[in-house]
Amino acid sequence: MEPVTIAIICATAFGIAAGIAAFIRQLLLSRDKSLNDEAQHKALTLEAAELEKIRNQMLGVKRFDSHYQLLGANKDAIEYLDDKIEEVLKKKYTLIEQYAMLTLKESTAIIAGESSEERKCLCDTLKAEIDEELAFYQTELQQLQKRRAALWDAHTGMQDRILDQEKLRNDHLDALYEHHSGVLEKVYIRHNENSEAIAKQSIDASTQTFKALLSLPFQAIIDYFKLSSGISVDAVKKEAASRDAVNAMEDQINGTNKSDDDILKNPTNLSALLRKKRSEPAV
Amino acid sequence: MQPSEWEIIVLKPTRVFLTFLASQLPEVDLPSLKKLQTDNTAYVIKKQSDDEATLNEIERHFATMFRHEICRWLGDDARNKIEGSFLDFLCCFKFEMHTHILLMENTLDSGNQLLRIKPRSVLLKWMRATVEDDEELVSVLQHINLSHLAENATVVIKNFNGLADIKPFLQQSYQKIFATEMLRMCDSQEQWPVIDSYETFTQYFSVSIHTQLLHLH
Repeated sequence: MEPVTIAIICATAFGIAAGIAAFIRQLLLSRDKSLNDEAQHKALTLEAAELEKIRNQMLGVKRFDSHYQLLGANKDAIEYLDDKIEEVLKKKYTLIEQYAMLTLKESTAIIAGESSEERKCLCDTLKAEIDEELAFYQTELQQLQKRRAALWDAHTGMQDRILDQEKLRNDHLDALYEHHSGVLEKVYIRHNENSEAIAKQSIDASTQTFKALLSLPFQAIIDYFKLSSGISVDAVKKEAASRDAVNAMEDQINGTNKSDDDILKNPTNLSALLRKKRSEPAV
Repeated sequence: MQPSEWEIIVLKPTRVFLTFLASQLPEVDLPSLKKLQTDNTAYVIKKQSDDEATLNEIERHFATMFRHEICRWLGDDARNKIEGSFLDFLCCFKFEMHTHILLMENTLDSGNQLLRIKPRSVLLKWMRATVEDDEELVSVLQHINLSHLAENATVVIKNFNGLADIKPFLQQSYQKIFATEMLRMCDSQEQWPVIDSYETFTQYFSVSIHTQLLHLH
């Protein structure tokens, strides 16, 4: 059982405190919190850079126009509808870009500790309005494409190419919207202590399964995760059993019935501990 | 006493990771958040000169850590696009850094398991009693809770053949562990609380077990 070597390793800045007073004074400066917050700021900056990249890609897309030379009598009408479709896609992009910028700004505020239920409600309301607006754009887009198809009298292969291009742009916009909606929801849930408290209470209060808990706030983000490949259901069971064993051992070591509250609720025990006089060095 | 060349990161899953698992396995009863936060993986990274460099190091390794965490629950072959997103990683896990290390193996590289020593409320009470005459410190302590005390608490690197070996080890080594943890707070032994038995040690500290210590350096 005796270890081969024993070494105490510590960092200079966060190592040994000269005295208890010095240690207590630095307790409020949480390096963990600062590092976690900084890392999230950094990740959000990466998201903003990614958004900028997508913006440039979108602006750089050159719409097909070679078909105008080939089309017959309806050329002008088709060109008009093409312009209207382009307008819808641009309006959709502008709306999503504004929302994406808002989610990044709001996420930054949440990390900075400025989260509030009121602000979240405002964001939810705004998102519901944007959802409606986007649904309207989608209907408009489909109607315009349908009208254009009715006018198209030759070179249908070219129409397919144009439709594919429009579909690709539209799908990119939907993905961008979904991504940024997910960013805000995940950051909110990650930082919202209230939803954590609700979740803990619910888990502690009953033996209900996780699925029954999905009415809790984190239901909002479940759809933002794509399905993994290569999942093994057995791995979950094995991991859960392994953690049960560790949990049981921790209970045995720490005492299941000896929570901090139990110790503190027993004043005799606590006073005795704190009154103990030092007779010899502990080590 | 050696200056640290390494830092240890313990990844604590959040509700976002639990929700991720739920999205992957809609038909399976998943564990509670409490179970998810048991036996969390610890990772060793190279100690950096400042916090900015530490963050860069974490960013450099996050995809490896994220994949490992996903594979622990979903199997070795599980792959998900989420592994590549630093923001998703940070939403799924809080990281806790440890530089105060009691190494009980020949080298750090040979350590594969870790125990984390967590101060309990009695230690906080002791601290309050120790400085009760100093108004400024009493005022600071009013804002301190156990999570503050547990930050950068001592981690013991030691390999075990099985879980059953841990308690006997602690019963034998608690004084060394206690001394290491107290040295983090105060170097004058006469100020320390008296720990004259393993039972007393467990009044002041609890222990969490981490069966996986992975080396990223």
